[in-house]
Amino acid sequence: MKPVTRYLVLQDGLSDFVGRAISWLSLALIGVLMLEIVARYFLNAPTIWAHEASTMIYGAFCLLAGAYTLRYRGHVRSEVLYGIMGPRGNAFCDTVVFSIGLVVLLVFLKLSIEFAADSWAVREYSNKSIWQPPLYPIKTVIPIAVGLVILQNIAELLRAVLTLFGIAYDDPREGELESEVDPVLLDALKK
Amino acid sequence: ETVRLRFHTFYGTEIDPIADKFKDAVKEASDGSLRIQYFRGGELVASDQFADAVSKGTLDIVHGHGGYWSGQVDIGNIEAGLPGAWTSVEEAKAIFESEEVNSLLTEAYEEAGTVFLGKGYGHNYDLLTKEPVTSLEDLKTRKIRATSNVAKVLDYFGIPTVYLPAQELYISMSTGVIDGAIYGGPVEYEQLKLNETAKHYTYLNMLMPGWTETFLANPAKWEKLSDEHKAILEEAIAQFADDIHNWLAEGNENVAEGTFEYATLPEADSAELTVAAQTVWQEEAERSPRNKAFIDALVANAKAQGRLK
Amino acid sequence: MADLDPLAITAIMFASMLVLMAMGAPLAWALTISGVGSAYMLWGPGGLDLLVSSTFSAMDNFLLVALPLFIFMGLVLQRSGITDDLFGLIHKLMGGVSGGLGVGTVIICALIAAMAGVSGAATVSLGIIALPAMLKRGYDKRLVTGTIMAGGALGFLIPPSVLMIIYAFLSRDSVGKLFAAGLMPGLMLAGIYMVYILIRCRLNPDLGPPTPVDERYSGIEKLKALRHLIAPGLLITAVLGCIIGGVTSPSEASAIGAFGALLIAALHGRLNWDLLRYVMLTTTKLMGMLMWITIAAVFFSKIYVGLGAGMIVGELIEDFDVAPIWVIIAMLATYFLLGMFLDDFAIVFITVPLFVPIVRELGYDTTWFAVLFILSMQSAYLTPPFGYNLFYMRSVAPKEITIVDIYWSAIPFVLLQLFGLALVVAFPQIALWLPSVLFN
Ligand code: NA
Ligand code: NA
Repeated sequence: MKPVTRYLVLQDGLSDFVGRAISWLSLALIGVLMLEIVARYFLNAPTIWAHEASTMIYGAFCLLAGAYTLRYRGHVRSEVLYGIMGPRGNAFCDTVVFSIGLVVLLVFLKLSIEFAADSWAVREYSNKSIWQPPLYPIKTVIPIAVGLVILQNIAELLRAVLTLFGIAYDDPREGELESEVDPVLLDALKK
Repeated sequence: ETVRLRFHTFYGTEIDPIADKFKDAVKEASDGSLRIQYFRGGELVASDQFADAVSKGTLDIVHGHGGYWSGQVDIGNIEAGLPGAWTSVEEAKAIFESEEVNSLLTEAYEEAGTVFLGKGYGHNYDLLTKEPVTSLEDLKTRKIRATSNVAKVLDYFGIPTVYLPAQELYISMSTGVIDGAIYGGPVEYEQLKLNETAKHYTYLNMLMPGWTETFLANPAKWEKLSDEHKAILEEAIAQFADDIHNWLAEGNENVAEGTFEYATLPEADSAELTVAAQTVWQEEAERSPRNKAFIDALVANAKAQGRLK
Repeated sequence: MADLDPLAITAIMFASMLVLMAMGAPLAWALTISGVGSAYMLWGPGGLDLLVSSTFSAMDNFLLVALPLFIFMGLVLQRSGITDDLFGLIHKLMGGVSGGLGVGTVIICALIAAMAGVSGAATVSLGIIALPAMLKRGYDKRLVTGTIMAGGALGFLIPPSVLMIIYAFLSRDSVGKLFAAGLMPGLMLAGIYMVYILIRCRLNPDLGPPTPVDERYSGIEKLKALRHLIAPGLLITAVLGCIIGGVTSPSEASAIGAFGALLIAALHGRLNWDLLRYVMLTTTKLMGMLMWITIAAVFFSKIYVGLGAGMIVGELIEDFDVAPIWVIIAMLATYFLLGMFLDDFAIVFITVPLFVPIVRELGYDTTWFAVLFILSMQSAYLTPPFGYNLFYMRSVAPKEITIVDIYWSAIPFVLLQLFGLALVVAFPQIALWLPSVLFN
């Protein structure tokens, strides 16, 4: 395997791994809220933490999912013009978008690191309910998620640049179909 | 050269006439050389991120209350208003205008990267419920929406509290997700049309004014202002704060007859609440030496007023 | 810095965003790039911090917790086998009537809509299950395709609805109130579709022939088939009952829904590791998309408002001397046009922060406007060139149905949707009656 391909396999693999790991948070979300409902209506003992905890799980889950979505080309885009441009035209557009995107994401990373550091510095806590959990862990999720998206953004940029300059490479994502309806779902339904 | 300042309040459209007067006053007094770009609650920055936004220069002046940033600035909760801390606007003003407390606030907000500009005083902050309440005992079987400080005091009596965003209050109250809320005074409840779903207003006699407001500025922006502009702003902000307080006071006084049915918590219960609040006071005092000094000042005042032994 | 003409700011921000979108930039990238660029050039570094505060606001909101869970629920239901059961039921019950299967398809769509928060669930599964079955029985292919696409779009008008949750987050309306407001217009639209199908089949019985007599079922068999309604009925009652009856917040109800959908899948013997992994990963992918657009769009609109452009453009519209209703109609026309080219989430994020303050200033009920918006998005799913249900249908339809068939089949239903929209514009009570009864 050539170094470029090896890098792409590695980077796609990282985003994939993170996505698979955090996908469990969706079950955790259901669990926490069901627990609260049972505690409140059947045991008459509402928790003080379920609402804020589920909000935090939601925030971490969805933000961290960004890199996984990018790896599977799941971020909504308008393909009205893009779709008729051809591979080189697409590569040109992607190069422009993902290089400006990289700069903007680096700014985002710097700001979010400061945001989290400020929270750590004062050991910030939440004041919404009597639970008063610390806020610095959830605020630390922001720079991590942005960092993961930056890494995947670099892989997208590299793919676009290589295609633009006509440099041949093996894309590990080659065989993946781009369809509006998930092929897995189609198979499952047709059975 | 016109100077424009991004001013963000936590109030919504309800104080628009007061805000227009404030903007015009600044513009006129400065012959148009100082302008206020005014933003209502939630328009630019969520209220609980005001302190951060003003320290970084996203906003130039914020108008919020200490509860929003109490997780970041140690004295936030105390200055917003702890149950039992004061019983009248005059008393609250005397505390905040004292040399000692004023310097604590200046110091705390300087550490948070902001400039402390001044205070505003809220008004009634009591309980609204669907069913009448005659005692604390009544509340133990109900779900009440309350935030941190008050929630802690209620928790002390085993009264369950929930946190809900303000936009969900109406539906939650009308469908019975909650049985009551502690959110503001009659005028705020009427603004949210809560009187359509819950009619029973119970004075808790716990704290009056029920909250105080704080104005903070971005240090870099503030330093760049001329002395004349600073003076104009300070005066206009003080007037703005007064106007809001008077609007609340008149509004609460003049809510149409029959909108709410008023009751007062028995004196013994109110006294018990104040005692229970002491645990919250002590918890706050333990957060920092500065908080300790602030709480000591509040205790000394409460003793001088004869509310504490 | 801020002395630029608000119209110039508007032009800079929107033009740069549209250029990026035309270049195929992911919407989140397009909005963030033009937002950061405008903020830095027109505001200075201070404005950039809004990016982080918008991020935290989007993460720190209990209302939005319902989004992943309603999506999760829809994905489970799609693969739970519930559609097969329901189609079997209407085949037994209504197969004997001319056009009966078409009417039954609309009913199934409405039932699935009342369980799932998204629109793809019904279109895809009915496209695979009901479409071939109806073609085999001689139904007109354009009538059937159109019915499934239009019926599928009911998914976010009839509550629960992911799009309504996002609208409520942006406009600061109550989720429960919006849900209640969508129910009647959703049922009305379903009714309009059914009447249309029956009329067309009455005029031309060849469009939807009744099943042959030997394929019909006895009364007992029909009665027994009704048991397939029990599970969906319980789930709908639990979720909508919890929200509208005020037993739980919408977010908690969404957890009940997701849990209930898993139970239904288990009852059908379809709950396995394969399904669970598919649902979890697809939810992750969709939420990564939604969260990053939320952040980008909230940030973009705050920069726009912070630069002073939003307010002045709003005032301009108010000063513009036309009857307020024309402003609403102009907004709806904008929605129709945008719907031809853009994704519904893109439209909600770009327009709600700009339109809703104006709607409010004009004195209209924002709940009513929310329903008008959702009704417009129904059409967006059916109008070419960019329409999700067109894409879904193309992916699942058998070969004899061409893309031209799909486009033609959509047209009458888009006209019916516009008729429904006009009714709600003319009679706001269609939307506002139920919330006023429930919550006063
Ligand atoms: Na739905
Ligand atoms: Na469309």
